[in-house]
Amino acid sequence: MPIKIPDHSPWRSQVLVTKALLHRELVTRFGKYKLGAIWAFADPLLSVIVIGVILGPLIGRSSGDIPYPFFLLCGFMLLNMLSGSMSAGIGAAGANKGLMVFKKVQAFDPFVARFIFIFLINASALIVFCIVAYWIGIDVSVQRIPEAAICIILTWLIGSGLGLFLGIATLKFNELEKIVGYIQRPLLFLSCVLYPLDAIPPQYAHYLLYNPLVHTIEYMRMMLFPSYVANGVNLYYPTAWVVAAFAVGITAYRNNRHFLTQQ
Amino acid sequence: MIRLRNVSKYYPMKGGGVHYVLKDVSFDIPSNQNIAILGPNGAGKSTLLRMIGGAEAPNSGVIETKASISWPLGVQVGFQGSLTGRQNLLFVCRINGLSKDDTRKILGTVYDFSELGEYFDMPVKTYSSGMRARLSFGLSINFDFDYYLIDELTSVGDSTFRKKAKQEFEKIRESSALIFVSHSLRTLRQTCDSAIFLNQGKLVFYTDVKEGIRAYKDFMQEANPSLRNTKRKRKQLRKNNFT
Repeated sequence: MPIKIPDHSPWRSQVLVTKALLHRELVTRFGKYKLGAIWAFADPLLSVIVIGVILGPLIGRSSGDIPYPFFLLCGFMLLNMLSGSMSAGIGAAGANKGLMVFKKVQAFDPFVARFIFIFLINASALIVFCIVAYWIGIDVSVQRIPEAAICIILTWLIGSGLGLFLGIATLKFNELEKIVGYIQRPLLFLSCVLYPLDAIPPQYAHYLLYNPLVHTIEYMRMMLFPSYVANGVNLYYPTAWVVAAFAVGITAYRNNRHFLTQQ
Repeated sequence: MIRLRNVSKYYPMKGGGVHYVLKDVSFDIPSNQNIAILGPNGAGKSTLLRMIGGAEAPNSGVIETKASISWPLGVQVGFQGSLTGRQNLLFVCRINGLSKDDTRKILGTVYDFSELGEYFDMPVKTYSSGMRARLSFGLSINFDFDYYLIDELTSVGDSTFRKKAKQEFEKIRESSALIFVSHSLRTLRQTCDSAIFLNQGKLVFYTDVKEGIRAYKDFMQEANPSLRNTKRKRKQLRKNNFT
């Protein structure tokens, strides 16, 4: 006997589709590895170990009260959050084009699912790292966790807005994907991931402050370690980036929504 | 009933122009009959199906319906190549919010119907087009739709699958309507009652499928006169041989 598809409210339907896409993302992303989802934690940890071993002796002392590996980890996770959601946006529409045949899946849904996916794996990794750090005796401050969380969310939102824009723009101009790769690469050096902002001479530091990632990374370190100082960073500037990134992203989506479902 | 109200659909072409699939079309698709969609290559038959199924939105105008409509059933159905047949089925059940019991039931019947055996738990990219068609067809007949959209589904697969598909169609025909795109005019003549002829953004409805097919054939011969000549020559030859 054939089964009638139950009627759902639009919101319930949206939740179902997003959950199903998230599940799919999890299976395709981690299903091929033997260690599975452990890679979500192992990936940043291994990068930090490799960079820490090489750069630790060189600039490790400049990170103030924060132990250098943890200092690095904070920056790294936020960088991951930004570049992760940007890359997740690129290819979101292409990889899921086939799914558009199902009426319930709209062109916007793969983007939403992928961004949530990036948030979940990076945020949970960061939380686990903070708990471990606290546990092994690193003096992480608990009082200003909400502000630290806002830094994470702002970074994620900038990445998602840009990811939405890039995901659509790269479909129209394939070369853009290459260019984005070149822009993303120096971000590791230009975002205060490896060194504190205070280590940069003031006449150059204000150039770095154009990078919203510098604000969120340094602000988060200040919140987790009250004795840490970073001059000139605030949360308004990255918030402005969030608004701008989403304006650009949603405009691109709105103007190309027919193109996205086209076979 | 599916109502098309001032529906326009076009694709941008390289060089600035647009290609119209539908141009300001208003039309009610009747629900009590099986309809063939005819038209030359590139007229937009598949796009029309995708629009009816809600996969693509029209550029202007609206498509209104309260009926439940299947997704277009064809070889290019929304399966992810790296996932197994089972995982793909689970995805479809999940987005539709089916209960655990229903999901289990569907997996069971599709497994039996598709006769994929061990391939059921292999990535879909290892499937042949016939296997894909079996999976997608097996899945869709488990759902109760008012309209089934079929895009060249029956032209793939081996004779057993075609036979099975035909039997299932007979069952579906009693309770639901089929909207059918196929290049096999014979299949269309056998299964369909009426026809839609789609060409250059215009839609013409024929209450009798035979009439529609005749109009389509006439059109194709006019567009390509050499076709008619070869046919005439062949007829002439046959006549000569007989006499």
